[in-house]
Amino acid sequence: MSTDSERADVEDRSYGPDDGILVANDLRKEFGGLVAVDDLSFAVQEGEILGFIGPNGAGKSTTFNSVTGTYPPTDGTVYFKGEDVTGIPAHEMVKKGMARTFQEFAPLGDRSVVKNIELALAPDELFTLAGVGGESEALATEIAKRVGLGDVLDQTPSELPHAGMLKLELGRAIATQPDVMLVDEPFAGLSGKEVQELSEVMESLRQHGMTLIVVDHNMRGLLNLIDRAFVIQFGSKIAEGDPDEIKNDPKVQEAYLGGDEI
Amino acid sequence: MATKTPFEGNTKERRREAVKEKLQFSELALRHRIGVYGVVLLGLFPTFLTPLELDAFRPVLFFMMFAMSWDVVSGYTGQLSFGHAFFFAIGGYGSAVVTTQHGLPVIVGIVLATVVAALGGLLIGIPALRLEGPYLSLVTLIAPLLLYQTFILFSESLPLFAPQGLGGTGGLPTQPPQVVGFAQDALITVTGNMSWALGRYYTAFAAFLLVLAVCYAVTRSSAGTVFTAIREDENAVRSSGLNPAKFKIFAFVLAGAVGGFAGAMFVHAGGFPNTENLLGPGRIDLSIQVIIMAIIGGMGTIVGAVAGALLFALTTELVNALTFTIPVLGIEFAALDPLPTFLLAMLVLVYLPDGVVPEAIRRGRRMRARYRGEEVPEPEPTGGNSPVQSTIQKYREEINDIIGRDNK
Amino acid sequence: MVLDTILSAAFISALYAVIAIGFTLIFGVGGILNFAHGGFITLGAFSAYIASGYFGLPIFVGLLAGTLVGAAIGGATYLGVIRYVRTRPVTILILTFVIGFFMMYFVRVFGREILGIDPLNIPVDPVIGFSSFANDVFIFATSWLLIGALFYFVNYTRTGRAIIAVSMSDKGASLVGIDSERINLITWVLAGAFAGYAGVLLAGSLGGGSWLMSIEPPAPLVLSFAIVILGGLGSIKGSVVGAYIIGFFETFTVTFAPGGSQLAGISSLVLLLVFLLVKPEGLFGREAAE
Repeated sequence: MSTDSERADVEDRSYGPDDGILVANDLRKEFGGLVAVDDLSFAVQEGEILGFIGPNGAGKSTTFNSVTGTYPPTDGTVYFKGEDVTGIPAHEMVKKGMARTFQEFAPLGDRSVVKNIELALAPDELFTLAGVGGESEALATEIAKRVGLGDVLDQTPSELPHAGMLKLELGRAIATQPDVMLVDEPFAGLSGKEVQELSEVMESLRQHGMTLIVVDHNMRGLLNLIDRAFVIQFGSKIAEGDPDEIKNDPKVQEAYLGGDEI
Repeated sequence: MATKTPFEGNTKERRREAVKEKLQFSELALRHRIGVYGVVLLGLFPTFLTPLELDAFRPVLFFMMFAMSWDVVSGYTGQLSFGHAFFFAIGGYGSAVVTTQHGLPVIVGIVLATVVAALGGLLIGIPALRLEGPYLSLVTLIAPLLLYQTFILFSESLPLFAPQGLGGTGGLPTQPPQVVGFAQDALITVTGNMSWALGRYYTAFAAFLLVLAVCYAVTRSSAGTVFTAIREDENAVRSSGLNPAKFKIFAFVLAGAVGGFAGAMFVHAGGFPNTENLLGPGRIDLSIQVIIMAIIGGMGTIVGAVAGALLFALTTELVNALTFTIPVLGIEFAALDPLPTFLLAMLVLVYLPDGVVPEAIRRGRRMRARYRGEEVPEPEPTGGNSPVQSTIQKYREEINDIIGRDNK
Repeated sequence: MVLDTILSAAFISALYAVIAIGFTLIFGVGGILNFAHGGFITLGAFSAYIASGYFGLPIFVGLLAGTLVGAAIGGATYLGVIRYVRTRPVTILILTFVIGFFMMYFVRVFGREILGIDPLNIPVDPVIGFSSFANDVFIFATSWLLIGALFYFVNYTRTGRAIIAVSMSDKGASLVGIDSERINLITWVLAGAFAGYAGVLLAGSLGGGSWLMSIEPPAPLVLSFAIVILGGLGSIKGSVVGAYIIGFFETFTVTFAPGGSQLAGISSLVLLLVFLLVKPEGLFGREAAE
């Protein structure tokens, strides 16, 4: 459990709606008696690639589940593009421009890769002519190619390798045209070459104006990609800064001692 | 807006072209052409069937509509409705009461009945959001049972709504005004028996075409892909910026409207508004038969529902036509009805889980490839889960949630 | 009058519990909503008629016949159909309905065509014919005996405890060497036996059975749903408690509410509906995961 003095230097700020494109202030999530997110505050700057790092169980997924609408936080405020979006449901967040991928991939097993991406292009309307002229298929094909799935357009997710499923997750998230995208533990199980490929895709997305938040517990693949990082443990922020600062931060090293490599 | 999809060029023009292209008969895939031939054949029945045979076949058209109504919500979104006759009965009784007890014209009756049934869909669809698997099944099962009891409770009179009552177990005494009939209150009055039989048949056929068109259009539209996505994985739907609740409710409302419309047309095209016809002699018969038909034909396809209804009816006909005497028991085979049909249904359920239509399409593809000397296609041309598999997975997850099981 | 009603309710609730327990056992162990349960009940009553009404044997033999036939049919259903589709819950759901209908229509067709009786009025004598009160006590006593035996079985015997284990987790159970196929079979046989037994007693106390007896008032099939939802799907204790709640609710409504006899079918349905919407896990059921 972090003590007050440890928290003082990274937690004395409270953030307001205009401090970044995505801002969380005093975010708290409790499950029964367990505190998973402990008055966490952070601000994501537009156009940056931000790393969100922490050992397993640190509360990374819970934080982002509360922020992206999977469930509402117990307390605290979330601002997106200046607007208070605390607790709004997931599909609303997506419509506002906040997309995310899932660690446990959730592809649609009953349809091909290109149709999977097409779903993300479907309008949230009951009666619509969208798709009749073939526009969504064309667009979905484009997106699939951009994430490297151009060769497997008609295959079903069950036929894809692990890296392919990840690209599909990315493709579906990109299709919703987000301003901010959260990528959840993307590098798990990827080879060095695949990590490089993926990083390039994400960098190119940033070049096109997207803000990215990459969550991971393994810093290896991450540190070359990100501009900046937060490190959390036990639901609180323990370090913040650019990759070098993070690597050399004693608190971070201690958090990872005996755990995952840095 | 983040989910605005960028369209370039003249969208409307492109869509018009696309639709025209899709409707070109010669361009249609074989299975679609067969379907069109089938529908045309149904329309041509009066040219070679006697009025008696037409009358015997007419209920099958309604079974097809009822089955489609089930498929559009349960086959597509995976929300299994076990009391679907609830909607048929609301439609049939509703229109009958409105036209006989309140004296309103047939058209008004049909429209009102459809609207009320759609509201019934809302009544089921909203609680359905909070209920999983078996609980949803039980709630939907209760609806027609409660309705049945209501008919009995208010058999003499239901103030304001049905001053002459709901008829109890025997049903409403008078047949409501017909769309095509002898009486003055019919929409189209005729004088000959032949025209009357034709009129009844074509009224049912017209209703069938309408229901088929609506169900087909919705399920092949963008909403349809969302429906099936809901069945597959609701989280995927949410993370695509779509509100699953909206679509789930819509599916029930649509199913209700379609079912209610079919029920209303039933009583105005020769049918009688009673519980035996609209709920089934065993109170839940019709609800279950409809499920059997849709699943046997192939759930989640709309076409499967039509085929399944036809198959079910044909089997029953066949059984009834076999009048030879069974040796030891000393009774006619036909007297065993409906047991052989149920037995056949069991066999299909166990051995052809995806249903007859998908299986037929698969076999047809293989045969055609072999005939043409082409490579026989993979068992699953596009791979992936079939509607039945997705629904099963979804249901299994829900059951495991409920009983707290920790295995898959 | 009130005392009479209380006693009535207490007696009949025990029988309802016996019916509901079979239903909940199958769900707990296999995750299956067995809609054929109504069929077991009907076949039990029918067998009793054949044994005592048709062949003239004493009604006790009829009771035995009903129970044995129920057990046999339960086992046969599992062995012949269910175990081949265990992994397809939706198919099973429809299948159990079809099987249930098959059984009901079987009674109708067989009764009408071969035995020459009216399938809506299948004569079944109460076990204790000279006094309806004594018959009710008999029902109460034997039902509780069965419930007690089941409790003992489930808590103190290896097989019984294995049933509980399988209901927790198929894989976990097989890890400790429990043959879940065998357990499932035993469960279905038990459920069938209980249902058959209850069918005979129910028909006896109502003055006769019918091919529709599982869904005509008091609609034991529907009552089973209500009871296990209230008590919690998969909980034996819940079935007993739920049976008493429903039993008392039904009996009091029918006796004291204005137009009560009309409400026979409705009150438990309404209660069930309310529970489904408010607290579907019931009193003792496991919480639905988030």
